[in-house]
Amino acid sequence: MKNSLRSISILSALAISCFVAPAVVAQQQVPSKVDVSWNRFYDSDEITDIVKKLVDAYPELLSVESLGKSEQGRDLWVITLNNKKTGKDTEKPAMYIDGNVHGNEIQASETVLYSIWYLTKSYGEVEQLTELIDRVAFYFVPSQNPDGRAEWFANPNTPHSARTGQRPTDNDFDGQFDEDGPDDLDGDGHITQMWKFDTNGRFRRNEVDPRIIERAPQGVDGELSRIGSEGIDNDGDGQINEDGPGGYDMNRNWASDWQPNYIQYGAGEYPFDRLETNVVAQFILKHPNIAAGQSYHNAGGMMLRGPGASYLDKLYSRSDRSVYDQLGKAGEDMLPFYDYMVIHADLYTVHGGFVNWLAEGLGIVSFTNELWTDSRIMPDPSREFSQEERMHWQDRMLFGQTFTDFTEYEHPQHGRVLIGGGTKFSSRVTPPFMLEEGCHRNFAFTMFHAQNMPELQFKWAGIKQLDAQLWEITVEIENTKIIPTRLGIAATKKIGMPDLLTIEGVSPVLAGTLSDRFDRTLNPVEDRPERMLIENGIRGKSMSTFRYLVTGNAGAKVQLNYTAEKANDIETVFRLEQGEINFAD
Amino acid sequence: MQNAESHPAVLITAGIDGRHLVGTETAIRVTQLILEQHKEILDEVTIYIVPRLNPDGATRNLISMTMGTTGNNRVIDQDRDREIDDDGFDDLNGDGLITMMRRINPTFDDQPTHLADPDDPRLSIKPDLDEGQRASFTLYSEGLDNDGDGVINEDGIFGVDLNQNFMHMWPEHETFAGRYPLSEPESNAIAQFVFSHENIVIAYTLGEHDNLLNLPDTKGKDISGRAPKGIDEKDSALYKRIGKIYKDASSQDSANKESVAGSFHAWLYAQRGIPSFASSVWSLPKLDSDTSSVDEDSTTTEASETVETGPKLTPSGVGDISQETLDELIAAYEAEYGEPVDQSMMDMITPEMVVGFAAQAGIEVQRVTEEVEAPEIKEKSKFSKKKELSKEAKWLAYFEQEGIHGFVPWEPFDHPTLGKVEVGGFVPLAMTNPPANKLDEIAAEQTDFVVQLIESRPMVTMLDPEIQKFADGLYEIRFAIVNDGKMATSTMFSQSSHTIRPSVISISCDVDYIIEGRRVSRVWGINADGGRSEHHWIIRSNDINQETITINDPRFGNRTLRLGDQQ
Repeated sequence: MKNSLRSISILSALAISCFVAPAVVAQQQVPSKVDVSWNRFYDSDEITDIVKKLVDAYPELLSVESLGKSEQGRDLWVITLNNKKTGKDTEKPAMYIDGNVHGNEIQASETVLYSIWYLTKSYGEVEQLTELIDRVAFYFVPSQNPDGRAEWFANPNTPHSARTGQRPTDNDFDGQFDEDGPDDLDGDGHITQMWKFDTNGRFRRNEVDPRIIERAPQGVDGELSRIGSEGIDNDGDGQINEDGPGGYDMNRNWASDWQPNYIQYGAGEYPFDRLETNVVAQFILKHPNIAAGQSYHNAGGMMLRGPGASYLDKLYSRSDRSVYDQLGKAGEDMLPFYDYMVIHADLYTVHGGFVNWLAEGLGIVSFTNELWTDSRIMPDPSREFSQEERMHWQDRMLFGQTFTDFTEYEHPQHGRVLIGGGTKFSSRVTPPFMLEEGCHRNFAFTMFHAQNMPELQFKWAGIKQLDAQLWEITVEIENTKIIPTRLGIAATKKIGMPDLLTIEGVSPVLAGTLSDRFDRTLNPVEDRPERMLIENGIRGKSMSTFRYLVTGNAGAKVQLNYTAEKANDIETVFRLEQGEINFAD
Repeated sequence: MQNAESHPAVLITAGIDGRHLVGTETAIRVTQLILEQHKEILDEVTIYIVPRLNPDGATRNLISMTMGTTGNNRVIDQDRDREIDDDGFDDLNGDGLITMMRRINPTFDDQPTHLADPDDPRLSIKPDLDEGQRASFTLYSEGLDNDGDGVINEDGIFGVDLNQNFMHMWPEHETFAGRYPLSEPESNAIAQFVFSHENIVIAYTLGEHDNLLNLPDTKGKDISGRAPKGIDEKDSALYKRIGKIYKDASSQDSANKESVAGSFHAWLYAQRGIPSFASSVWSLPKLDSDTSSVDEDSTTTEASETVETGPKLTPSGVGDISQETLDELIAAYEAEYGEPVDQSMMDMITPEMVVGFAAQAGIEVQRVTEEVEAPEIKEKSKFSKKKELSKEAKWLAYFEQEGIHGFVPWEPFDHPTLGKVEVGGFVPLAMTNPPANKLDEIAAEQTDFVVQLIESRPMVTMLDPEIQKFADGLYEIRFAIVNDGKMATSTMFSQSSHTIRPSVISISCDVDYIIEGRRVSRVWGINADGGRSEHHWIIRSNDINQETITINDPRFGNRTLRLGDQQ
């Protein structure tokens, strides 16, 4: 009995398994055709090299062109990732992703390259990403400021210098250009800090670890005072390092709320007056299909959205803020210790910023991620690193690589000084051994953002015959993603083109938008019901309902087309017959 | 021989508004008159004239039939129906002009908005419900609904309004402001000219703006709160002075108030530190019959009826400080120092300074409070309804007086979609540009103004440095730059906000050899009427004759003075 029961159960199990399709084994380790190490950083030439290798290896998905040249003649690469078999990139919603507009914010470029590397190797192997690549397009600009990046790597710099582009600029208004930059006096290849021996100084070397310079406690005499960055008075005007290479901020050079230099330092003379910002701007203006934006920076662990100034708060309607909030909250889950923040409220005022232009000038849902936060390595992230802990960390985990010990130097102006401190890799820049995880998590957030670019489908249609030749057609169109086809700001400020719904095959008499299919109050559009312009678009995770009163013969072939700048255009055809259609079936 | 860039320069621009043809004509004639009658000016000053900044817009208004639009030829889908250029204007009555249409007894969905003025049925007015008037027609521009969307003439060639395409208060989401500042080739070109000609010290822009007949707003700030909407208060003395010169030279009677957001002349002031003047050159002149003078009397009688509290105070032009307080301060100063107050001090004074001085002198600051205006206005409108002609009525009277074809009489027309209409209305450009026979006399007046404007310019001279030897190898040097002109070398606003680069004065010797003084000094501006920038050094030098002082300022030419040459 037992045996026969058992054999029956085995038999039935076998029988069942014959009717189940063989399981697709999801790949867990997908190699790329291009070997790239993600535990190190690449200068501008090396970035170009990796771009070329990726594009050569995946020609069916990638193409590259130069947007134009930088100040010093380097190319700004834009890589288009698109599956041509599913359509042209310009006919799909696209996400624009860049980084490194500030030359010192280097890990932004690795994050962009990582994204291309990961997507291309996943196509055909990872279902979720394959679907994404088939549906949308990507425009990647790994470095918006290749000159600044090149300068940061090639020459002695700090974690903060080489932020600017490299156009010579007279920052101190003395009629000379870039005549007094920092100097590597101790020859360690870095620009560190200078401290002066000063019996009135408030600082002293730590008694236990003389590499640490700390405030002298109350009642204890100090011996050092801070001078500033390593350097001498190159132009003899009495000041040190007041006019280094460049001296402007290309993330203040964009057209929305652009303000001149005396209000917004570094903004340039007018929007897009830099070669780099201009070519990027022209590209974006030519691609109204861009529905999402990300510009990677360092540092701080943030996902930032506009506005950059408090007086622009009213540009962000409740529905628009809800879109950003949903994406930002999701990001906080994916990025430990990163916070979703509003630029002017949680950070500081920014006039003429890039994501502000994307969002407020062009109606594109955009974030700037500030990559890397110290919280990721602190023993207790709820409080600040102490200097001892920081020194301990870099000693043990980085083997002392990011610190130059203090040496004495005879400074022409200040006499005996100490020079030393953290190198350009000591802050803002992700510790190399943690780079890949940082790239991946930010990539994952950005892909979630991309996945939520609007996607439209015809959901349902109801057709009623009202009279011999008079019919009522009601149709529902759904947007299954978080981002609407038109942001509230686009509708209010008349940015871009409204969505368009056209009907053919019958003669529409009246057409209008309803709140739902049971709504009996039709407010018809005034004219041309055969082409309805829909300023508000279709909201995120939402359905819009439209109704037509048409004349036509039974059985006529009705065609509806919905066109949106930032979503796939959709079309449906059905017969003019009493009844309902569920399009998903 | 010196080139144009080595002199300070005046920039005269016209024609940024495509329909402001009078500006271009004036600019050309002024150029000619200066060459004929005032050529000696060019020994000291360079004049840059850009007579037609919007050639496409002007051509459209000159050669083809026009509605009187003002932009360039940029194609804009302004009704945003995803179709370009589908509904331009149509000359329905074949008179070669595009005027207006009145839709008589429109349908339910097209509410009438105006009625014919009972005093002059040519004019369309809004109904005065108190008088029992009712609207009877809707107004349209002359044309057909070419694209069948229910709106007429909404997508002709309108173009970008170049005078909304500049950086100061750029109206970002306005339809005609351009996609971004300097997006248009014309505005970009003039901006590049300004950037590359830093010797420009004065700008005069002829167009549909004015800041000479009416003092611009001195209080308002832009949305950032940092930039002035009109001008900074500290520059109001300058604009008053030049405004007075203009009023004396020109017979122009009045000027419209237009928004300056994104405009060229406002950008020059706010972001380039250039004293920037604007006039529309011509406006509705006073009529011979002078029926318009009635309103002046009626307003003064109304004003005296407002309730006053306390002694009557007079505005002084310095914020809301009363002239009485200023008079008291001046009296106190003169009593204390035994000398009269310098006019240049009075020009520079700010309300904050007044409060400070008054506190020191023990004087109470009395401010002019704003009068409650609301009741006054209601009185005035009731009054003026009966006595004052509307602006449009004055225009009609002017056209009659001068025999100008400025108005097309209303004639019926059967419109395909609107039904019964009348076609007629003001001739495009007739209220913007004078008859051609006026151009010469206007040009003469404008030349007179321009010459006086140029004469007011900053005039900078460098005094010979004084050298005093303290001991062998130890010297004291004094040096000054003097501005004897009637205008500061840059606007007061730019001097405090550092909107543009300063003059740079530097001495040749090494910083280690300087006992007192700075090797490099920045001078943000030198005031008018004898204002000075003084410099003082004590230096060690092995050969004083080889030391030099270098002045770097594109406005006045760069100079190097060798101390050995000064003996």
